[in-house]
Amino acid sequence: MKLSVVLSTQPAQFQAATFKGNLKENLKLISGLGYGGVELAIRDPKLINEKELISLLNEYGLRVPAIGTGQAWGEEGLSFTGPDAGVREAAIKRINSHIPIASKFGAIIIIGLIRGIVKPGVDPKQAMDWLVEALKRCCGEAEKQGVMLALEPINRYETTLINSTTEGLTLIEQVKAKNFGLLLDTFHMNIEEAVIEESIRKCGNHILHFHVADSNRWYPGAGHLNFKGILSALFRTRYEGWISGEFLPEPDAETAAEKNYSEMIKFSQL
Amino acid sequence: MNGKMKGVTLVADWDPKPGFKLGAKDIEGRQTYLGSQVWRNPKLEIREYDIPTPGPEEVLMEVKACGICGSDVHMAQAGEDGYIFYPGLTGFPSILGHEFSGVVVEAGRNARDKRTNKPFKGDEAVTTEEMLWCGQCKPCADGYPNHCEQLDEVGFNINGAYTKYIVLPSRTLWSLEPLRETYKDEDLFVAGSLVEPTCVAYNAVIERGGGIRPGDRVVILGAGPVGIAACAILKRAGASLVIISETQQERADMALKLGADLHVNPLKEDFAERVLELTGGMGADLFMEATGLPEVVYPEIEKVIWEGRTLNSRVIVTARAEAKMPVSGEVLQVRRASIIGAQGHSGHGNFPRVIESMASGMNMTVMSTKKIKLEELPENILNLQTDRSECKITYIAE
Repeated sequence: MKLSVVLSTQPAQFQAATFKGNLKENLKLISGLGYGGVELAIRDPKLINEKELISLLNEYGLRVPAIGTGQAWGEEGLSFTGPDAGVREAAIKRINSHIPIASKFGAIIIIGLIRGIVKPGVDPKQAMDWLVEALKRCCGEAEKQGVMLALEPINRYETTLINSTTEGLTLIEQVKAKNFGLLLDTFHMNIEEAVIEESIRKCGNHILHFHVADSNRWYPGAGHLNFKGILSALFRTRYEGWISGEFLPEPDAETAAEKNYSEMIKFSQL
Repeated sequence: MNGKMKGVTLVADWDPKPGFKLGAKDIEGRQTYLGSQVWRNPKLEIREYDIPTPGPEEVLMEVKACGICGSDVHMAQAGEDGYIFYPGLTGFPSILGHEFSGVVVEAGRNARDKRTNKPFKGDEAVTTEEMLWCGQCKPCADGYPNHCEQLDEVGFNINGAYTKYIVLPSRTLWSLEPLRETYKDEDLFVAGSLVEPTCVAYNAVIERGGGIRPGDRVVILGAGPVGIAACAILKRAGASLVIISETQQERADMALKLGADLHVNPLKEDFAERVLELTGGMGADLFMEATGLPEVVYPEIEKVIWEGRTLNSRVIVTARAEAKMPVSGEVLQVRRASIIGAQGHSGHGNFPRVIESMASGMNMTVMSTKKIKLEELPENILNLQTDRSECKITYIAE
């Protein structure tokens, strides 16, 4: 079972980035808890000291299964669907700038909130067209370097675009790129999906990455989700990717990550 | 147990035909109950795997022998449009192979040997049901595991036995220890690998068909391994006459060797007339449709029922076919006849009874006409698409 946890490489407003702040200390801690991977939230690859990062990852024996990109939206307002063409173009450029580093790590690029929220005055159909177009362009670039993009359906309280797995599957049909799939997150699915296990079955081999957080966005085990059923359904799809913890640092990041690890490892024989 | 093993793996592209909708138990891109509607461009590859680890209620088995089944052939065979022939539950890539036997290597703490009602000790000879029924759905709870609603099938949607090791739930394992007195060495495992197809026949003619009374006449249509096994079972059950209908001489000869009394070749003679002649105008008490061509053979069976003088004939439909059967209800009414569908091999005491029958002399091992190694499996599976002269080809693990 490949377990990872989300770490923000910069200070961030995003609440569910479990670890924030000192990179070295955090990587050491994550590795010490038993994790084999760390999912990096990177606002802008330019701000990363790549050499230092790689050497630290090697030092602590951590892989990078995926790169989160949502902070470019959260901190800078970049979006695939903003009314301003310059912002849309900048968002595409930003995602493309993640491709080289993702390729080095063998990581998936996550399309989270960078897709944006339909702003007042923008026709939702127009927003979807912009989204499909942006994804096609980014997937085209990423394919050249063997990188996959995974869009995360996000619950209705955080965005208006692609809330459910059904919408995610329709989007896959529209984007028509072999290196495009879905990132499923149990916290969002708990809000949007009728039956989480059924949705996982229907997404099947389009699932490229998987986030766990409980119903209250705390670590798994702190809420009321049935992770045994959810992970059974996931493994039945022959998912061989990572189970990545993205939850609130409550009561603190270390405790949350430790609890997540011990909860997930219970299901390694499902 | 650590280490690697090779597995003969079926790989195919998920490319649903227009109009295909994901079924209630299908998994997008991975698994479907309608194989021929979805999987395209099948290929057999020898891939490397980690030796699997058994869970608490599971057993790690070392495979000793595994027979090639017609469904293996049909999974690896594509029509002109590239879609596989096999219409049923499939999930690829999977290691194929589901008619097999072996020995227990390692058992989980809750795994039990049904023969002793105790935990496994290790080294027991065992075989398994191919259908991993869940035990929790309504059909299972009602006692119909062959109709499980959460079925997994070994060598169809989960990894099978064309390899060295396999993990299985202990609930579907059956001890082959009763065979040790009658079968030595390799023969024990070859016999064990024939338990599963023999159980398909047993389930059809005994469990579903209701069996026969000593002195009954029976007609088996189609001398594939299941049809041949039905000849052996019904002869031992006391049939006064077992007629095998088969177009290929080698297969008919095998049926005659294992229990059939007379052979009818429907390509060379009129099936209905000949059966009526051989039975003195009586017809038969039990017919088994094991050809997969019901639209061709059913009208002939119906003619025998209509013109023969036997009442209460039963027709057991065993082979899978998409074609509809042309049935005259009046024949069933006037002749008190019935048509019964049979599916699967699990439950109803089928496995232990077949194993005991084999232990007491129902020797099916002659059906295995060719023994091969793992590396020879792909070409042999593909050859079977056109060459039906071998009865059962058996992979013997090294």
